[in-house]
Amino acid sequence: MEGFSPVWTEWLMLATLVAGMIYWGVRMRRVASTLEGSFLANRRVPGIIASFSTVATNLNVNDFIGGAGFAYGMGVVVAHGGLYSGLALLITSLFLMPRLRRMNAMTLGDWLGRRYTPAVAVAYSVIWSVIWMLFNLGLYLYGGALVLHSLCGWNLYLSIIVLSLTSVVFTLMGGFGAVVIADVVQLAMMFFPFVILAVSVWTDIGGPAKIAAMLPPDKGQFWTFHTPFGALPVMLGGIFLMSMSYWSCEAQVVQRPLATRSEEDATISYLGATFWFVVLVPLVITLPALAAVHMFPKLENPDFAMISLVHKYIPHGLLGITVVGLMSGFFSSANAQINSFCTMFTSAVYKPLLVRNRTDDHYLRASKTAGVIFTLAAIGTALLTSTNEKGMFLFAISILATIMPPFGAITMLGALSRRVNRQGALLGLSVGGILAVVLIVLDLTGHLKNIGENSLYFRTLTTFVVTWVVTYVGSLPYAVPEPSPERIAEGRMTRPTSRVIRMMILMIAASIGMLLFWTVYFK
Amino acid sequence: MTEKSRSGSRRMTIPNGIMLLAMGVLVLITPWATAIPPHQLALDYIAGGIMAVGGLASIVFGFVTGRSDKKSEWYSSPNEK
Repeated sequence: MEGFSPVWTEWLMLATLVAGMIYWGVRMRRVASTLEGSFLANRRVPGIIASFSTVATNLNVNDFIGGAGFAYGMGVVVAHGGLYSGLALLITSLFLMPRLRRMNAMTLGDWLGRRYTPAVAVAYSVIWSVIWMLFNLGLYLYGGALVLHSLCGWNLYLSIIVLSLTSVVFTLMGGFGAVVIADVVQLAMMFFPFVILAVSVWTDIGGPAKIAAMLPPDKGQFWTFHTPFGALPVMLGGIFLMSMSYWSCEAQVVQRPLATRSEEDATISYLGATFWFVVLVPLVITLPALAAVHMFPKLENPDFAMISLVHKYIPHGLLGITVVGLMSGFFSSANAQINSFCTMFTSAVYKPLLVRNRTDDHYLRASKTAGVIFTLAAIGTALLTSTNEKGMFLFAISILATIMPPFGAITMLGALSRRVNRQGALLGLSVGGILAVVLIVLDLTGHLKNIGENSLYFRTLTTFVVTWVVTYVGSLPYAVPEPSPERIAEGRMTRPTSRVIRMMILMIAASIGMLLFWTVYFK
Repeated sequence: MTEKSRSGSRRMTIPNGIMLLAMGVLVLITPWATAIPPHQLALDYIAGGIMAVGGLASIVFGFVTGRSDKKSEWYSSPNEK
């Protein structure tokens, strides 16, 4: 992929982004001087700011570049993902987030430990921090480096090192508060150039109907029964349950509602994110990527789809903003991941299991040391990611399909049913975990080829449903324990406020609108 | 009110607005730094203009509302209030 030579104004744009991050890192040092300040900004974040941060944390190079590559490679069926993401956000925002916030949980692991038993919390925290977070930060680093390499001509490996150092210094200096504030402006800069790019592509081609007409049949049907992920019901079920698992379990995302100032704000932090995933992401990422199928039919790697569009449509000046936007996406996600790791490792592993009864200062220092080691280890996973040929997005969700559904199932069941207990959760988690590993081994050895080109949604669906059923049935022989006063308070659901109901109606209307859009244009 | 507490009550929109304004201006002056095909010039002017105006609006909004809206001080440390 040919790079471009940035002009001096574009270097200054990148310098402005870094200067802004340094400003907020220094500015937020005082807030980050305690454990709760560093991890949750003292739980004073307004809901709407937290919702921007939720979106900025989730969207990064992996989505703008990797998500576009996913749509380029798999076709319009992947647009179902945005709709089901919206539905999952709606459900988790109403039923899970207010409970977590009301209990003042530090992390999801903390809530799982109180809801079931500390063993569940330890399993979640260790698996999440050691497996997923390490791979995820590696993905972010690789994605950010890929941008600097393909758009600015930087050496890929040098870029990985520079980005990891910048992120870890900023995050450990300013804590969660700095991450959230930087997210707000980074979100604007992330979307802005891609909105302009999307409009340019639509205008050039002549609208969604023309894009649909240009697509080959295997990539142009929204409602096709035979998808690359198996039969349509399997794919839809898998997408929905993966979204449910993601929005209920992903540590760095759950940290946003936990840092808000009230239960209503916790709900809004998720509801507000729905609009971006249901409306903006499909229009700004998926649709242009589908246009790229026609414009650049033989790309060596699907991840080059969006970069090819940028080269074709974006002039110098705006190109600098595009790089800044992609770098913003990288920083917002990488910083969130590092902070989330520090929070989880310290509060769920180091403090309760390794070194007890020390001062807050000790734990703060330990969390920062762990953050540095974690980031350095992620450089290794970034290098591993760079060897993947099918695209970074597919690689990421394939890992998620293995580790996320068992935790997603027990989390949602724990929020929705008071009947389930620790015996059921431990049994469900064990059976679900073993099944997930067996399925990925079968997949890697080619035994799931008859399901579809890719079996990740089948694996998600199967693991989630089995974990759910085993957890519920495994709870039945044991009596429901007497709830503690804390559990009684947690269980007392408040009605959604009028603000929440208004937002909910708006989000449902937007989702229906997008469903009609895809159905009408791509049938 | 001390100088420290005044700075603590500035909204986060001011520094973020300054960043947006700076980037908008840089986009607007890029056609003077390098040759840009005429059919793409409009994109730079539109994008730079939107960013500069957005940044300016953000700064003004921060100055107008910064001292009165205590809710916006969530990111200040307790010592600053």
